[in-house]
Amino acid sequence: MIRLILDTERRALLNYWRVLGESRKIVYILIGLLLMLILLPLVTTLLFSITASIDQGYLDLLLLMLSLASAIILVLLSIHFIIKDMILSGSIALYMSYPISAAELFYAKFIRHNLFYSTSILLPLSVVVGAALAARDGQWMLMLNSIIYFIVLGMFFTSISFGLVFLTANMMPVKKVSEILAFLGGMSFLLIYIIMFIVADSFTGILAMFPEIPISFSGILYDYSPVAGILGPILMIVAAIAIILLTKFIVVRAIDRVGITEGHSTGRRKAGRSSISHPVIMLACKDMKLSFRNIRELAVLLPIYVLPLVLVYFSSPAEAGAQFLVMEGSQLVSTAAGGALVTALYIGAHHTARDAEHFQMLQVLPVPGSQLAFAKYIFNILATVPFLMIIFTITWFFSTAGVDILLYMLACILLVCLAAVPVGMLIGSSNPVVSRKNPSRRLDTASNIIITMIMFVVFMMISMLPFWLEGNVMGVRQGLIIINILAICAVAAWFVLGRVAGRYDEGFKITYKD
Amino acid sequence: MLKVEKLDKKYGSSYAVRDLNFTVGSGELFAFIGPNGSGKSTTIRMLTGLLKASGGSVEMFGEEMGPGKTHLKARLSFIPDTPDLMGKLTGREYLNFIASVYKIDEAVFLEEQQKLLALFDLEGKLDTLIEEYSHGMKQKVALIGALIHKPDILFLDEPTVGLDPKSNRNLKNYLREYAESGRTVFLTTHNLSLAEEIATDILIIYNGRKLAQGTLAELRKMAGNETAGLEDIFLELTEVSGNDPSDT
Repeated sequence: MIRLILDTERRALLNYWRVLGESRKIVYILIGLLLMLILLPLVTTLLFSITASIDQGYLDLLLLMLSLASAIILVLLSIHFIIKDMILSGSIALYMSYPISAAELFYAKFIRHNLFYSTSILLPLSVVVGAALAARDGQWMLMLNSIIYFIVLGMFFTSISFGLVFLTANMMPVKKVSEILAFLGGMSFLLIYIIMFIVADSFTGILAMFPEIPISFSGILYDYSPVAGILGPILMIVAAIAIILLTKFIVVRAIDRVGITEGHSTGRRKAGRSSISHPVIMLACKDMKLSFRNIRELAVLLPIYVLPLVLVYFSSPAEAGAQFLVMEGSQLVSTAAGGALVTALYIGAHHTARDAEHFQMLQVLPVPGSQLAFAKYIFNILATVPFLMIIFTITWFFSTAGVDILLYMLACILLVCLAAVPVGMLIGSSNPVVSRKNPSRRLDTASNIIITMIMFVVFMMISMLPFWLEGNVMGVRQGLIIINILAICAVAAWFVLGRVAGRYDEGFKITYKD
Repeated sequence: MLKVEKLDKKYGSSYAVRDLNFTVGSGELFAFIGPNGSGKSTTIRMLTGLLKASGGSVEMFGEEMGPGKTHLKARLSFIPDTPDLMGKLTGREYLNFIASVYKIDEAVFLEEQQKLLALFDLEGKLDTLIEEYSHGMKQKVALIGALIHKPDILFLDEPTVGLDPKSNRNLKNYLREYAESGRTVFLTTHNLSLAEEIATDILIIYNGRKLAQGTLAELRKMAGNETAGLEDIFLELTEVSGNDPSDT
């Protein structure tokens, strides 16, 4: 039965690939080639050289950090796919309607998820690390132990992921679990930014900052000894079997006792008040509620809100570790404008594309497109300007620039958002996507490419700023010229908003996925 | 109140709806029935201004209906077969939203809301997120949202799907009274006993074309069976038409 389920899943995957559009296939192949030809050799070389050359005193810490980093990434990845594959798709209910036991379903899904999201990543990692460790000590048994260690680790991660999903699914609605975990996934991207800010150029310098750890891989993964080298892997395999059996118990109990469905209900919210308001205010309030109650949505948008900080880093990389940002006033103002442009474009596009989800309902309402677009514009301005102003005011506090620069920055943020939000809305309304399995996916490939290209150009320009603006001090005249130009753009953007209103009247061209 | 003339909808080279003609007057409870894929939902979407017709016209309250006609939309309501309510709002917030965009007087809104909540047995259940409602409860909230501003014409696509027996009966009675008060109900359904029970006029659509229209008695005459139920008439007429080679 397990083989039958796995075979069905394999066929479904093949069919999915067969019916994919040619353009999508080409994109996937290009991404695959990019990973294989650039990223993989880079990571392999880096990992191999670090592991092979690091001081023996740091080996335990390095291996522990590798294991923990894999744990964070793989557990979040596995949880996301388990929820998507088993719960949001309703496949549990489907399989359980056949003469298949919950245990058989668990084993089949476990094998699939372990192979796809753990072993496929950890096996190459184990080979690289194992080869480096074996080369260090000239003991090739270390290679085998490294492979066993990382594969068993992968089984642990898959078990933890299954356990977390099915334990929490018993306590709260699966959708909420999915949203919270997706939010954590989004937050984990912040780690990348943090690393960019904090990491110095010396890897061993960072390792030296950690206290001594009570774990030792000596005898098993390095400095091979026959007793530890044989007993260690056997113990790991036994522990893996035990944790898989425990996970099976949790999952089977969850499926058999309550069944896991998408509509698992929770309690009521605080009693509200029935009242009416102006349609535009109501539309903007509706958007506010849809945004803040959807944690999955916040997870997608959060990294965009933090992007301006990355721009700050790019525009003064040499001084990132200093107590104050040594940035010219013109640099600060340009960075604020660039950050506002990128954020306003994406947020505007994402929120407008979200309307596709309930577009039929909006269309039947007696509200003209102009009001729908205006309400969305107001909401997008509220969702961008205050946040950006706070971020850049904090940045200004850490700089040596004067109050006049802060005022220019705030004016620039407001005007850029007023100008860029309608453009973002136009992009978002061009061909929005509605996906049941991936509800936070709102934009089509073309819109994503357009926004990414703009982001890329802004990033490039901002990173070049220190060279272009070196020695140029921003005066009142320059400031007023910039503000006037931006004000003209903000007024001109009303014409773009008119085009968006037209799309609300005519109807969006919506692509329904899944 | 509603006049449809030579209405066409073409997708590529094939017609989803072809040469449809009918009128619906005030106080009528009009049932629009047909097999799956016969063009019911496409027609209803054209009537409500959600979809542009390829040809012909839809006249509502003496004016051409179209996507931008918000003043006409203010006088109608439409509930699709799967209402796309906003899951992250509570039932109450959704109804506040609807009342605001239809600009209902607050006192009238509160009074009507109370009546409809009692009718659909939804009292005390409005402060839960819509995404946590069952299908039937979502349908009830959608129905309340559609009825609360007392539209002159009410379009319902499969309104009884998911409703419990009590709400089903209450809805039937409500729709009857609603039509008797001079307003119009336009209903599509596969539940032929519902159409037989409450409709004052019935139109059968098949392969995008009008197959028959009339009261139940008139349809019986057309089918040549004076005692037949709507189900028998429907099957009789659609099977005859399905065997007719000129129909394809």
